[in-house]
Amino acid sequence: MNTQLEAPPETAVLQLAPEVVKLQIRNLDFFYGQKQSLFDVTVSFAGNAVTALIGPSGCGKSTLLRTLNRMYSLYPGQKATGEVILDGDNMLSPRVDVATLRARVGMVFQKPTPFPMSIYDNVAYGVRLYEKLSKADMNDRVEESLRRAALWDEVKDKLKESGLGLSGGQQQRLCVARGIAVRPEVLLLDEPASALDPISTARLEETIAELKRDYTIVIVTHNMGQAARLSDHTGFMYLGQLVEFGETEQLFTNPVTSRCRDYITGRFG
Amino acid sequence: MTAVAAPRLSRRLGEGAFLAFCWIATLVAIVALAAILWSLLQQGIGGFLKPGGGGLDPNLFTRSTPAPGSEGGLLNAIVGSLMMCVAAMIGAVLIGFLAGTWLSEYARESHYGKVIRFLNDVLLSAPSILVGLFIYEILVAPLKGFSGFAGAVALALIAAPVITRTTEDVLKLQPTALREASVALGAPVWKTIFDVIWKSARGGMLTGALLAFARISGETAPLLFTSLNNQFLSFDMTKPTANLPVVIFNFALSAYDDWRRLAWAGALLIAVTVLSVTVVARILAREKASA
Amino acid sequence: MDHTLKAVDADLGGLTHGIAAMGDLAVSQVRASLDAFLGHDLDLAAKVVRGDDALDIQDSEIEKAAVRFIALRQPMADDLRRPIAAMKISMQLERCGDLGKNIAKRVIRMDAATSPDVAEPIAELGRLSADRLAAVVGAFRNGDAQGAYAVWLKDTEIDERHEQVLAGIIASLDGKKSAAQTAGDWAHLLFIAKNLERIGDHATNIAELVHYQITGRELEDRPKL
Repeated sequence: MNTQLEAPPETAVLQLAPEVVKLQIRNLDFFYGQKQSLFDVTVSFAGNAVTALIGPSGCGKSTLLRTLNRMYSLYPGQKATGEVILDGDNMLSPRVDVATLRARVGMVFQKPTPFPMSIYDNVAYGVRLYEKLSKADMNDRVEESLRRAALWDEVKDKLKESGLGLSGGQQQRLCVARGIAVRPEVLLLDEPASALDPISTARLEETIAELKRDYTIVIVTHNMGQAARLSDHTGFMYLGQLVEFGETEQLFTNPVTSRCRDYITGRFG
Repeated sequence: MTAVAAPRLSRRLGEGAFLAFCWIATLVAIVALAAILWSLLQQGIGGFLKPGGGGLDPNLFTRSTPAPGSEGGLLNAIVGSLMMCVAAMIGAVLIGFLAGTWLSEYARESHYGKVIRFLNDVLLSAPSILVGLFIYEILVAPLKGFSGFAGAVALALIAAPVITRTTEDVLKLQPTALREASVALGAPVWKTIFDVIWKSARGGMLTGALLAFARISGETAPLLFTSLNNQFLSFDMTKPTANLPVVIFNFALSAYDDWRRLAWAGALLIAVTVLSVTVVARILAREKASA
Repeated sequence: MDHTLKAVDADLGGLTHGIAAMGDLAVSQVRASLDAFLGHDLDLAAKVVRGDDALDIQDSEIEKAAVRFIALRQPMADDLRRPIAAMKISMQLERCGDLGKNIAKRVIRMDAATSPDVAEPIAELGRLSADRLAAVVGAFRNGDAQGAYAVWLKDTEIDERHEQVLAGIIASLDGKKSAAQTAGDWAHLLFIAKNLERIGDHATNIAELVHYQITGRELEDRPKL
């Protein structure tokens, strides 16, 4: 056995077995106008698992998340090249209808964003975009979504009240319920707990852990403890590159690259 | 320690002088406002009362503007003003909401958007008499006739930039994440704007519309060239149409006491309307802020 | 590279310093017990016995510091390995101290000085173990994974030497070459040799821990005799 400390590799990206891969990114470059902010990112996300993306502010982790549902296409001048493959189809292809893509890939944002309408309508809003449900079916769907987001018991008696009246943690779980009501396959979470107190955060984390059984979840977080607690795989990004990607346990106990190690141990420049 | 004390003293003096100046300036403004309100109330309330004393004058709201010396009221002017303002607001709200939405949601910082925004700001501060003249040139003169419609168009042209601007401003205040949250569910942008963004911004948008209404309800200059006036009660907006500001303008300058009395009553009526609309707008804005 | 939060570096430095100091003390305890054995120096032996308390105290202080570091600094990756390794290394060092103390106690209980021809091979084994322990403490102090690996590789040398020492003692017993020793002393000699061999084992364990702490990798398949 050679224990000579070889120079650690610059990047280390674990290749997942093809049968567990739900979502795959290949050679993704991203541009804000002239400025390139993602560089040749290639990575796979496993189905029914939580993948966390960590890295310092501006490293491109949120940008990466926003390419997965083509959120960037809202803004002229933002452009992605490469492939985002969901179950074999390239989601970046112009042939893929963006609304259909977003029905398959839901998203929850950093700040809770309840719509200015009732709790019920908040959840039903997305469903109505795609499905014509009977009143009874819609009631069932709303209840099911709220239950899965662990919010039902707290709001079942005030479904007609405004979603804006809920606490921050409840609002965020309402957003999760809204996101899963359209029955997506992938759920993107962009720092979903950064505006929440520890108890609300714990509830949200428990919700995410439960949702893992049915969804492929990608979460961007600044909180490394959260990434460690929640995720099965973790990717570390820096300056628009995916520097290291691997099993969460391995990445947090023994990262391969020195950039990743320096980041997670708080030694960053 | 004088080295330290001296600048402190001068600083304190400076602050005192500045504060005193602020107080004086405020006082001047308040005194002026109070004087206006005082004369308006004194004369206006007199206008609301029967000339010989004995309560409110019912003629004010039931009869049209009289010939000098005979009994009459402001009915034709009130009706005409209401018709023109409502017609103007329908047009201005339609244009303003949509233009403001376009500027905020679609044009953003595009070149075209910047040009439109600049032109809108120019229009916002254009003298209203110019607007009147413009409508006169393109509507009244070619059609050979003053009309209530022309007046409404002129008023709409004044109100629309106000609504456009306020609409754009309140829409821009809506968090980006709210738009993205709706879009992320697969909603098209137009649906996001109507169902989520407008709903979220409705308080502010309504406030803008009400302020525009307050603004146009007292405009005289554009109406002089467009709707002119009408002695009689008329619901036909294709004809010259009576309105409060022009009636006030005409009557106030006249030599007849009863005309001048009516002018004051009209002035008070407009002032009360503008005040109550502004109060409602403020309440709406506050509700929005607390939501 | 330094931690952004300086206190983390201070804590880690404190842990390293504590372990290294404890290691030095353990090495000197083992060496002193050897000296006491060779010279049948009862005073020195008594001093070694008393000196073991200091190691116990250091062990418990290091454990406390490690727990505190984990709780307050929430370390990740190599930072997390440091307190874990520190706790385990200090436990190993504490055992080495115990073995040295045990040797000292046996010296006190022995009836007479051991004749040099019997004592010298045992002391040779002891010096080898103490050197290994010192080497691994040095490797720890310098963060030297390669040095730790070198200690680990040579584990069999001590085992071999121990086998030879045992064979020598048994041969002496058979041949009654050293009539000066009582039966009890022979038993003590066997245990002293065994203790010294175990100190070598602990040095090898520490080498594994040092290597793990630095590289994050376990050393597998320890060389066997």
